[in-house]
Amino acid sequence: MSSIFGLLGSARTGLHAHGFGMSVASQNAQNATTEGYTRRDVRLSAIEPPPPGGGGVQVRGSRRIMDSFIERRVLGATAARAEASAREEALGVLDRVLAEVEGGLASSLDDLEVAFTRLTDRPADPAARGEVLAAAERLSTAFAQSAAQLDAAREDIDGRIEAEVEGLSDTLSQIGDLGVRIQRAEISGREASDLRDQRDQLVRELSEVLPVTTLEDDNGGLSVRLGGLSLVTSDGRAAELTVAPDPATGSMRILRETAGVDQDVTALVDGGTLGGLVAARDGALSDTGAALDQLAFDLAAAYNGVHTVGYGQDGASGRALFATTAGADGAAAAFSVSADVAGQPDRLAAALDPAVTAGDNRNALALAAVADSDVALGGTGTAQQALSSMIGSAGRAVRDARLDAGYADDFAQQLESLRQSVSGVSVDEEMIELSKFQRSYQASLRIVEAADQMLQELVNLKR
Amino acid sequence: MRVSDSMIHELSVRGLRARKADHFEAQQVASTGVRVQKPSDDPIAAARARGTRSAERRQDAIAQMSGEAIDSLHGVSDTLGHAADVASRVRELAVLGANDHLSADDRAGMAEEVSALRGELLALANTRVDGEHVFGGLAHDTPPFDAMGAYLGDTRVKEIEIGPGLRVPTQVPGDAIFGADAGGVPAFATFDALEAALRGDDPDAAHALLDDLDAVVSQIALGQARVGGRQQALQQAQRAAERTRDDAIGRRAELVEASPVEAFTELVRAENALREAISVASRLPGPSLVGSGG
Repeated sequence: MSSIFGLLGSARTGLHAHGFGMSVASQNAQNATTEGYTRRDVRLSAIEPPPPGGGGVQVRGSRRIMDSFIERRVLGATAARAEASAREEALGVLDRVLAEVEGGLASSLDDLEVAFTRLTDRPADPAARGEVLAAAERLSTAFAQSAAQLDAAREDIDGRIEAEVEGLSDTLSQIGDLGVRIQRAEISGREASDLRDQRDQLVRELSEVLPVTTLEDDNGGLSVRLGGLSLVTSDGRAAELTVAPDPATGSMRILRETAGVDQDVTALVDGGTLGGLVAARDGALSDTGAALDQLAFDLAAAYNGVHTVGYGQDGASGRALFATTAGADGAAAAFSVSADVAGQPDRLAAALDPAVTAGDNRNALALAAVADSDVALGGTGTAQQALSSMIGSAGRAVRDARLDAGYADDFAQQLESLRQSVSGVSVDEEMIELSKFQRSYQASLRIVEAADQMLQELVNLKR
Repeated sequence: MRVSDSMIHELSVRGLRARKADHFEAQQVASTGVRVQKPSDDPIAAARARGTRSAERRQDAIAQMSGEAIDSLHGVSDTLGHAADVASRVRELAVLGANDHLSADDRAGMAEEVSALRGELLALANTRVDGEHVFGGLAHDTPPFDAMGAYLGDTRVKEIEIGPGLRVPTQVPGDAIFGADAGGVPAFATFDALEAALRGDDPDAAHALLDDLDAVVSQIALGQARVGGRQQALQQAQRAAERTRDDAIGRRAELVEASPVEAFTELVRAENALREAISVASRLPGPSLVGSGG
């Protein structure tokens, strides 16, 4: 009798274990497309039959199938991909600012140089003088628009940095909380795979924004670090991340607040979306803005230097052609036709001799010669060469960002494929698993049936 | 390698996305004919194209300006041609006036003609081409010669720049042509002297002026030659500017424009690749145990 009941007990463990196996296979299949889901396998172990019989199978739980080495590399690759992608998107404005379009910076500079060239032939012609002033106005507008577009791009980046950082403290706090819950669940012997999936998914989302590294301790606690600084401790304490404008430049800085003390961590943010935004803002956008300012400043200084020594048709001298700032900083935005000359073509100083202002084109020649003079690049190149250099540098920055984004995307995808090949769900595999557990379940049922028949026969025998 | 369902779908989506992006880019290049539409398409080509575009615009302006200066000098040349005719006629009258067989009335008639020719030469010396007194030098807004034949213009002439540091004069100084400069023979004073000699019935005085009149004719001829020289220089400058401009256009086209054959070939390749990616995507999820009835 005891062996028949042992058989029933064994079959009961089989029904439970194989039912559990079917539920795990089912869960895997249901989550085949769930982002961040890690497939599970069933951990079963045999129950050794005590004499005189029984035994069976016991469920030791389910296990997440993952490779922690690949998971760590995926985090790094995700941060690199997000960095390059954000940088590429943020730098796109450079293509628009420096594209060869009618009314753009390049064509406006051409217009001014051509207008001065034409003025040399007809220094007294009101149409030629008017064209110089019109071209100078167009160049002023082009400088102002280019500077405004770059400023707007930097402001947009600051806005995005603020928005991205805003949600980070909450994410860090959730990661810390989940760590505590995982520790508690696992210490009490409960299953924590879902919690671990949630935490891993949050860490992956975090790594898209910040270049974080993680380290899990033996109790399931996870510490998250940025550079050498802790963002989440293994016991679940999370730092606050905030932003504040730099007092000197006005650009947004990223701060880590611990124990009421703010620490600027912007320099550590070299990956993730935030890293890309910071790199774009403080790199190519800032460099192009500075080069644009320098070009505007150099051009204004060069043309003013020539214009002030010449004479207008009214016989007056000493007038600047362009107004701008005292230094290069902000020169592009401030670049404009000077109030002394604006709207008054007769004041253009085309002559060097006030007695023959109608026919003297010698200062117009000097103004036209500015186009061929090394007035930019620290006195080593023309304004056009400075503009070409700016176009080349900005183009390279955008192209490099695009290439980086493509490479980082491919690399991240390769690692994601590796991760998927370990942790991803194959529905076909799960169907086989389901079939396997179904068969085993049926076998357990047959054992119950057989044991039942045996019991019936035993009962009938006693009658 | 173990393949999960997500990998199959992701691979398909990525492939389709990349092929669509390639196709869009190929379509843009084929439809616009431009390979470098923005600096990042080819930074080196974009930077170099900027230089060629700038050169193209400047050289075009120089070519146009040279052409206009050549046209203006045509007018000057015609004027000097007339002036040469006038001077030659005055010299003929001087030769005739030096003849002892002529009567005082004959010489008085010649004096009238010399006076008229002097007026004609003064008008020619004060000629305006395109609104400018062409013999006035930099002071081209006022007549360069007064009624007495004194030069009121400027001795400096207008130049245009045909390249960095390369300038060509587009005027000839009127004082040198009509002898108002130091060392020259003053045309108007010589004509006045001849008129006076003829009115005074003085053939010897008329004869004595022949050398000066020869010098006046030579000065005008020299002026014509200088105008011709400047026209030639400007024509060379115009041709050089046009060549440089056309070279710049050609270089720019090589840098930024797409070869139609290559652009079309690339479009066809991109279309085929996209079609294949769509075909692959349409076969998902492919053979599976799901639904096999197992």
